[in-house]
Amino acid sequence: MSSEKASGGDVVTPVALADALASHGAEDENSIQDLRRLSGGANMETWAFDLVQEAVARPLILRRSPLLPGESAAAVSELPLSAEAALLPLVAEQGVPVPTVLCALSESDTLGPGYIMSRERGEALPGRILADDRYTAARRQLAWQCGETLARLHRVNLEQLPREVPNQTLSERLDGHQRLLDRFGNASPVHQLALNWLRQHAPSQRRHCLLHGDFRNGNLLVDEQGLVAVLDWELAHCGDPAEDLGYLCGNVWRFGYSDKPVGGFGDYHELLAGYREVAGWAPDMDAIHYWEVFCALGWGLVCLTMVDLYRSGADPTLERAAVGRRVSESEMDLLLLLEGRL
Amino acid sequence: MSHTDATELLAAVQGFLRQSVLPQLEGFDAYTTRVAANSLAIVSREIAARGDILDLDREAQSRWLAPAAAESSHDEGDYSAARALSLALRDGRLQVSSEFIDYLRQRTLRQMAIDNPRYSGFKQARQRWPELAVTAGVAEPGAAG
Repeated sequence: MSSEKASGGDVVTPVALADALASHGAEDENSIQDLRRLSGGANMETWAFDLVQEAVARPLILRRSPLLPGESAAAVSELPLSAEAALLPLVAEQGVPVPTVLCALSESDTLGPGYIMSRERGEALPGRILADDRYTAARRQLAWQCGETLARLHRVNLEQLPREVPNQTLSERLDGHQRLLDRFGNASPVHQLALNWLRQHAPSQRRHCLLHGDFRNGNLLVDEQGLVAVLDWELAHCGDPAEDLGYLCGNVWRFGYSDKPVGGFGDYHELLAGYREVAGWAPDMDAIHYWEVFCALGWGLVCLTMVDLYRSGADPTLERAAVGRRVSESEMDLLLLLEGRL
Repeated sequence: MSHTDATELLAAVQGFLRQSVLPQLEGFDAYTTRVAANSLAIVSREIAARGDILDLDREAQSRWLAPAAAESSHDEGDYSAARALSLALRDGRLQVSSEFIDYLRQRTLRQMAIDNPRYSGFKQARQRWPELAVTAGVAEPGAAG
């Protein structure tokens, strides 16, 4: 662990932030105010602060990793932060609402690797977005807006992508899932049944594009009018455009509102209509269903990965241990999704 | 009077966390304390019901796997039967029948009743397959106290 960079308050200081933002008008440490840590596990830290210039406060976010690339214990491959910082301007160009990246921080920077971006106003907690009266009007538009936004995102020119963005065939990804199941002991016949089904029913892939990879309620910043920004791009990869749409409809991301298949807030036809408006076509319901199955298995693998992180000692928190008991949610969803299709 | 049994201790700690600790906390600590109390509730439910799942798995193992494969695992209390079935599925040694699917549904309904009886998919599944769901009630935390 000698190469591990110091985390938390030792490194993230007003002085270091002012230094990083010197070219953006930060004069000294007094320009950085209200610095606080928002969240973070072993791999990622998120900090909020204001950059104050001539009495005007600009709300910003620092996203950084206390680990060096390659040290992450995560089984799911995540984009390095430098690639994430390069990706955001590319999707913004296509009209996808995302935070504005101010500066990328490399490993050699005190604060790096990471980047600093604008802090957008809005709500990201699914419980509030789905229940508060304040978001009633937003909920009515959100599925359509998600469809439209995904269609824009899927237009990004693949040749411009940072080279770290994974670009695997579906068959390679299913092989990867099998390896993960085996690595975690393969103790769930439901997961294996689902993986077999995904292999047997793999759609012939006619289209291939950039995907967000984790486009769901919880990673969407919402205000009273609807979608404000799409967050958390670390699982971006290339693949079938229907994947992003089906993933958004996974039951686990409906947060209890199962009768609203799109994120717990909308209906399939709204999502597909929004997508069609921009793209000129939309996936069919069989494709959406396929990727809902993929999403449910993926959620199971995420839960098992968390257990692995806990057992290995890499992240010995209660949260990690407890999420291991959400594996059965994925099994339940898979059996519901596969009824009549086996 | 016997000593306090394990489920009683678990119920007592849950009560302490929810009624005495939680009201004093907010933010991340309150959230984690709720996770802690829920985790103890899972353990309580598992003590009551885990044996049923292992019985189902062993029965399925002897029904659908060749005796050689079935004999290879005799560890009491672990999930070796489920693992043997899963590996047989992976390697194409198990023909999926509607009876096998029903076993998976029964098993998952029981596991879900332990892990998170409030999950939306659990409710849907009980409505869809009422004959496979367990009807025997599992004691809610605190109900015994």
